[in-house]
Amino acid sequence: MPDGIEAGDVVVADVPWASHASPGGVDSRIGPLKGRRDVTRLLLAPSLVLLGLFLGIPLIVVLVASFQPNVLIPRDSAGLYNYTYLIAQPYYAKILVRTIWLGIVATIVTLPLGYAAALLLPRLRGRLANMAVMGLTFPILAGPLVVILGWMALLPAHGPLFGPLVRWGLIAPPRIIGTDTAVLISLVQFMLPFAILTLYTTIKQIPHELYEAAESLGAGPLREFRDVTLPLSMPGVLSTSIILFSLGASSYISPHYLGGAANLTLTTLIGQFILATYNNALASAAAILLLLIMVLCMVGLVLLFRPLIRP
Amino acid sequence: MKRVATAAGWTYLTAVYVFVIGPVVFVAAESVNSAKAFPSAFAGVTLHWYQAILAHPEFFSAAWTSTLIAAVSSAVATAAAFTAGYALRRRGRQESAVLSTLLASPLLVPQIVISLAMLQFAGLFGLGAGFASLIAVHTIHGLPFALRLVLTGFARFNFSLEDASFSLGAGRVTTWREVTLPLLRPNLIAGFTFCFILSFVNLPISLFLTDAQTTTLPLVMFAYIESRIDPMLAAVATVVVVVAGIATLVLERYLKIRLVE
Amino acid sequence: MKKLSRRTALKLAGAAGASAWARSSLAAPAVNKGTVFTVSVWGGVTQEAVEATIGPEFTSATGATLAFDIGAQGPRYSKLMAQRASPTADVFFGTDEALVAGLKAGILAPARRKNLANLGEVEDWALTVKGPDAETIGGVPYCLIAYILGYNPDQIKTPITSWADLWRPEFAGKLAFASQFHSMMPGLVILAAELAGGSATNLDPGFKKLAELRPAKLGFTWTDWSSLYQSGDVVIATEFDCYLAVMQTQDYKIKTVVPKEKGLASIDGVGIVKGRPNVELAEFFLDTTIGAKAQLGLAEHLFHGPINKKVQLPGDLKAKCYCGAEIADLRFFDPEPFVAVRPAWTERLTTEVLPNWAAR
Repeated sequence: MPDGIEAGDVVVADVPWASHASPGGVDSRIGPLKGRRDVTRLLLAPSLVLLGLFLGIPLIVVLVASFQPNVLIPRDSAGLYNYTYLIAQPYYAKILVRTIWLGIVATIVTLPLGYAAALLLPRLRGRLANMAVMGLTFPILAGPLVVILGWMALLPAHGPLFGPLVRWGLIAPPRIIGTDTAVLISLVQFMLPFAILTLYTTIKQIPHELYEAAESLGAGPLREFRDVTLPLSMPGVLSTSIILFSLGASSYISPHYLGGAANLTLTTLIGQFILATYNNALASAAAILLLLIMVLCMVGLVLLFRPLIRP
Repeated sequence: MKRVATAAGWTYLTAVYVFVIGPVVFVAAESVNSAKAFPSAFAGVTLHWYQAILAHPEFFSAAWTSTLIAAVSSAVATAAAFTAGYALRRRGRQESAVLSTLLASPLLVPQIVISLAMLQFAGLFGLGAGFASLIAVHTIHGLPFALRLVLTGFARFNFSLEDASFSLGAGRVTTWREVTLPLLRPNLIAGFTFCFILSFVNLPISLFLTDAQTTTLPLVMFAYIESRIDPMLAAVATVVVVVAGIATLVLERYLKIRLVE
Repeated sequence: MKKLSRRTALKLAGAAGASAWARSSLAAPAVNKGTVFTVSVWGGVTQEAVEATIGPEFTSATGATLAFDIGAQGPRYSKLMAQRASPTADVFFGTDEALVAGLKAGILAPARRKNLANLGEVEDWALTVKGPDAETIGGVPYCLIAYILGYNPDQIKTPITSWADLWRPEFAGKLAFASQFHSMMPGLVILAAELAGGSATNLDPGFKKLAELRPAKLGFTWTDWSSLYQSGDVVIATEFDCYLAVMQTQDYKIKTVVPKEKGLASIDGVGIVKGRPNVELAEFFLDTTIGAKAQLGLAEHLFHGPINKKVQLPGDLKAKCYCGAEIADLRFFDPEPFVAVRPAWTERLTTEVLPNWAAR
């Protein structure tokens, strides 16, 4: 295998969708020969056509639907009333806040947990290292539905996890299923493999010479971490946060099953509008709202991290 | 002191793995439990639930359908991601910020909404649900992940290699075949694999697009759970994980393909 | 294995009984060889049961084979709506309320009574879906299930007799209740209103009363709360009789009760999808579904109560279908008004009741 790229160099060190560059990226502005530039432009076409056709136009369908009258809000003409209805209704406003809150908390919890694991993982050697990485894909492979079934069985107060502790009088019966705690537990568990795999490669890609240089200057492990690992992995941290936040805020199965349906999020509310009352217009408005909030949060994340990322 | 730190590190890593894999291991353990209900206290070991799957041909045909959809959509997504990633990296950073945000957009729309919107959109053309529509949404769904992995490859790709090839008189096709694609191979494979897995297990994006001829495995499992839950479902999940695990090992051993180094 | 042998047995029985049965019905419509007839139905055991009990008769009489578009009712209904210009399913299984809504929305078409030879054998109480005129019917019922209570006799010593027992303080946080978009919800709202001194026309007390419940988990189907019941976290639940019967066959310790205010009857049915070419074939499918043989088969597979007068269930099966309740023990609602009120009621439940349930 030629140098420069290695097998398994798979998970990201940079943020493809944020406005900053990757660390250690070879200068990509090397001028290609004239005349090739136009061809290069064309190479974006397949992705853009796919997105335009199968996401863009359907989204326009959704956007148009979101302005339409519906059984709950009968009007004569199109308008923004579905949006004002959703925002003005105190419970829906709460759902909105709760959705963002769940996404943010899950991200904040997962990030350091995953970072620490990603720091430790490279110390594993040989077969154990392979198995460790493969193990992380198990919960993804099993599928969210199966994992949730596992949590539904494990988390009851008198279930296999807490049951014995409750019976021996060590703890009061904890109420977990049907609360935000249960949703957060399953979200963190679902997001951790993504976080670890992403951060693992980021950290591995930091050139070894930098550590050697730091050591030769007399830096201890803590300083090495503060001055080399942390700053150089920041782009990866941002990229991971964006993925985690979007996974968390858009998750459907976790809040639906473990949140106990009384605790709605925007996604489960959308599900309810579509699947139970067939209210396409309100569902569309809620979806557009969610999309807007997600984009705003992404921008916020990028702005938050930008000062931390060294050029 | 150092030993304490090391021990703490191992303990932590073990705890993380127990937490992440625990629910899956629990489900797998219940699949050999001879009790009739899921979940149940352990009542004895049986392979009955694995045998029971054989009486449900719909799981097998759905698994095959899911495999096909995952394979085709991942191939299309990875190919599109390759050309897009190439163009983005070749063209410099300013422009790619906007474009790559655009290319990541499928992550930001709730999947259930994509599914319904796609059905309505396809309906405009008299298409409706089915294989083609499923391929379309699964491709869109996989694109950001494939692009992510491809861009990582390009981040460390030395474009002067290409320029050298051009200057030796090679055309673009030859250059790609001989230089670019071989160097990007691991990333393309990883991108494909990642898309494949995410497509294979996805339920919400398929919700409105399956039809009588095309039903995916997650949908069959979900529909089964609607009216019944028993350890057989745990057995189905275990089979999926084990088959995928074996496939990963085979890829790694014989094709030297790794998901992550 | 057991399932396979039962299926084989049913097939054999079907072959033997085919000639006798054919005489009592109209001639099956002839179709082109290789015709595939698509049934939109719940997946899992429901699909299996339809395939096993209706499939052999239908195919041997018409030559058409069955294909299944499976899923929860919501996605399947949404699919019909989105594909109304070119539908892909021939018939649609749903609650009577969904059939009425589908007829109103123009995605389902009525069946002609003259093409339903078995219609005369159907119980009057099951005919909840009306047609636009006397010649037609909006769809046929395929089963009766009852929404009742199930509880853990080991943990609950004071017997459960009434819906009002759900509000007993000791069940706070130990109750599994219907989710706000459960098909039975309109009936439960009326019931709660009556318990609180209101009525079907005075619902405010009902919503207030419901908000006082303290459910641990909201369920759409029994599998939503079964693991909490298994662990002992949930000790009492509202659920369909057929699912409670399934739980008993899986060794759950659960006792069923038809409350003294009556259980809530739920009629599920089959409707014809509008705009498909084989209307006669679809009518024949409906007719086969309400026939005595299919009805018995569905009861055996799903513990769904038959709606055909001629079907006599053996004792042990009768105990499982509507849990031994008599028709008089059940309360029937007209689905027609529910279609109109459901969106507004669901909205009230979501915004007025759910916040209280979630708060605990």
